[in-house]
Amino acid sequence: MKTNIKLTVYFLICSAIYIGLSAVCFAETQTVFVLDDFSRANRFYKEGQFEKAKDAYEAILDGGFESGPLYYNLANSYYKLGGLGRAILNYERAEFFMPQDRDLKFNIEFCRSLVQDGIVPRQTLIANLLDKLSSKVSFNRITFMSAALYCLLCILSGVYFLSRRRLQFLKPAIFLSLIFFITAILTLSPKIYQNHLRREAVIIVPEAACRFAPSDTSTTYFKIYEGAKVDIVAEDAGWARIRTADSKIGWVKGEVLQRVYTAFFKS
Amino acid sequence: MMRRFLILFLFSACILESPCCLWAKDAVMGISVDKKVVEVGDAIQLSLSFDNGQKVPALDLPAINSFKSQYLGPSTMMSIINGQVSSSITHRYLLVAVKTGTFKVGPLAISYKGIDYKSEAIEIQVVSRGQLSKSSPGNSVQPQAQAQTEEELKERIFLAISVPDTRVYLNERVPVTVKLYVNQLEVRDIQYPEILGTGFMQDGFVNPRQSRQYRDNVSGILYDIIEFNTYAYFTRDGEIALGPAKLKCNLLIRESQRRRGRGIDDLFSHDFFDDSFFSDMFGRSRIYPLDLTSAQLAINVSSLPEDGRPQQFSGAIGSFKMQVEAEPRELKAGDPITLTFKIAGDGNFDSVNCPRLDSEEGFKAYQPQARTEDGVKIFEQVIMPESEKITEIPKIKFAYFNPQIEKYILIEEGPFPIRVAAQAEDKSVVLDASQIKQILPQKTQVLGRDIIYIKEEAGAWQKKGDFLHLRTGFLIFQLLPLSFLFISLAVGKRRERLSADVHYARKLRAPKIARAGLARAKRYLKNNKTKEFYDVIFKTLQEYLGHRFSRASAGITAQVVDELIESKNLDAQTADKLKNCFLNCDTARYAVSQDSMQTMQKTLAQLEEIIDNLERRKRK
Repeated sequence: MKTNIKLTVYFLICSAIYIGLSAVCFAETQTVFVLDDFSRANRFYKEGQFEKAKDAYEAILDGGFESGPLYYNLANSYYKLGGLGRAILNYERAEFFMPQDRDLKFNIEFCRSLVQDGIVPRQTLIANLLDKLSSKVSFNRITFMSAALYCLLCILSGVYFLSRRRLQFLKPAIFLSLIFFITAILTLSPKIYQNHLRREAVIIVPEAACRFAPSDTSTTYFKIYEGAKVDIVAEDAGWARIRTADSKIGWVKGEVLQRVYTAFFKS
Repeated sequence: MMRRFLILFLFSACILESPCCLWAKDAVMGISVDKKVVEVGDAIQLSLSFDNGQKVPALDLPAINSFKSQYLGPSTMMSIINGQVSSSITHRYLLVAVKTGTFKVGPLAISYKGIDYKSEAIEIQVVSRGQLSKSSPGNSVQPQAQAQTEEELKERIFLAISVPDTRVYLNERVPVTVKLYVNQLEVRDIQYPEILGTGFMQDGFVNPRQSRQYRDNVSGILYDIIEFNTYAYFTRDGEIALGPAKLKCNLLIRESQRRRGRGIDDLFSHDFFDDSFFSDMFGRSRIYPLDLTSAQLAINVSSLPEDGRPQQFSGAIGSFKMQVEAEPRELKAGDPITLTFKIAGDGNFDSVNCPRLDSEEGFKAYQPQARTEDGVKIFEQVIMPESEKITEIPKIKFAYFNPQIEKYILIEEGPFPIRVAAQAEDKSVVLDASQIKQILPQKTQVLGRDIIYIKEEAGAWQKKGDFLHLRTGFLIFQLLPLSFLFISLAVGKRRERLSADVHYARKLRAPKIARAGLARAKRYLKNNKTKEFYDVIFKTLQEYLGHRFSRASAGITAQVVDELIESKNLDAQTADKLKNCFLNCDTARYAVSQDSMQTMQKTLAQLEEIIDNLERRKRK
């Protein structure tokens, strides 16, 4: 019995070291030195020079760095310049990094309320629940939590199988870690779906004609307005087949919209 | 970051290691003495100071007529003022007067690292013995001697007032400095100075603890100096007298030294910041109140020029910058917009009035509110666009006079675009008295809608698109726990089978037992121990067959081998070898014989072949 407990403790220490190593090796934050540029951009914004502020924020993004507040401030600059579509686009991007930020929630709701013919999509109860769950933590954090729980589950189960007398006290721990792991995966899956599979985009021009076919001569099916969020169903020669929140499908030119998160897509 | 640090380090190293290279232009040698009048046989202290030249060595004083010199040692000082590092070294020498008369010390010169340091000359008067002591305040004071003492005291402690420029403009903010010079006296209870005069206003003095306290050489004498800084604003033009400045303080006089009666130097011969706590406690010192008065300064005050005066000028004088904010920019007609003007800079803020809109047409403007914070004057003014046709807030202009360049400057900000929506039409509603009561006490608030302000904190930066789940290393890392789980599962299952299935466990043990037995047999063969060899061969054979075929090992003998061969359907060759092996063992163990090495080797080889065959058969 004593050997079994020692074995369990040994493997739990190993798992803690493993999780710690993962945290160190794959920490979601990186110390970068773009704070000066960020402060400069903020200064422009404070001085009411929104065009300059926008350019400065975008220069940071072009430099290959991103953060929630950066997208948030860029969105604010676009809003001040009258670019509602790009403002919503960047708020959506900011939401990916700081889903719980109250200011962001307020601004995004406020901007959505300004969208002409804004359609609020209906969601099933489960989809709504999963959405709420996934909006509590950032993508990298939930990925890391899932990995840590998966590791804990594997190690606890491994120790259980290795022990000669099948340590019974490990069973509730395995069960709990399994529950948490499933919850984490359920939280992660809407985000993966949203960003990998659903391919969300925002209309960035004041008004766009949605046609029956990917051609300028095709009949206009309906009109879509700046700031509307759509799903890209397919793409063909500079045209995108989109699905609106009320499930209407049509073709728009590729330049009238911009994907919420392009980093996920290799295309 | 590393690069920045390296640059900083190299820069610091340059500063610290090569002061002469950087400060060669500023290097000067100062010369001072602690007193200029001395009796024969008494000593004075000569100080040679090198600003920004910490490594300058002591120079060998040339032979000075009428003085004997001795080097006392160096003292270094490093100070950081507003981030600027300055250092100095002072070499001190003792000069003992040997002859009466007036003598010159210097000019002195030294060359170090290619830089020539030169000093001025100072004059020292050497009087005969006892001449100075006559003038001591402790003795029966002669009027002439007392006058001499007071005159000397004036040289040892005095007050001076100064301004950067005596030609100023009306209402201009003029920095005024009052300096207290003290030479080797102990001064206490220094009060703020008072500047007398009319035709100007002044700010309060900056706390002297926060102002500069330093040492300086004035006409060859080293003084401790305290600076009092303030600003003056001249309210009428013409020539105005600034000052004199007056200051009250106390001098600390040592009674014990007074009794020795060696003149004013002995009375006050202590360092400026000496702690005389014990002297005070034992009553060996007394306080001497002192009123110091500075000279007057004649200031020529001009009124502001008429030429080039902008229409918007309202009296601001100095050097300013303006920043304007207007919020909100999207609103309904009749809703308020708050204009915030921030005037920052250097000058007379009392003369700064609220900037004006270029045109107030279409707006209803309210009286601005002003406040001053840390060198910034902030005005907040509420304006209301009267109709939805207004598209912008007009330019905002602010004019001031810059006395440095003697010109009027006009700053403009804007115009600021705004979006004004039409006000919703009021509908007449008939209310009863109770409803009016409910409505009246409530204060009406004008609520606008806008986005929430930007974030000051940048949050956690990450490389664009660098997500944990996309990193190969992270994904590979995830295989480790899974591998551990599968290995544990396999090990657990095997262990379970071993404990549950005895036949399986014995079968697995058989080759191990065989290997161990063969090793022992080889050892005995090597040592030519026949009996032990056959004992081991027999036992190994017994145990191997017992475990291999799940039989009791002890029961396996040459007699039961036939049955075993038949039941397990062993091939003829293996059966023959098995029988032969048992026979050899029995013969060797029960008959007294000494088998040759060759027979033993053959038996061992047979056993190895049997085990090998049976193991191969098991795998098949």
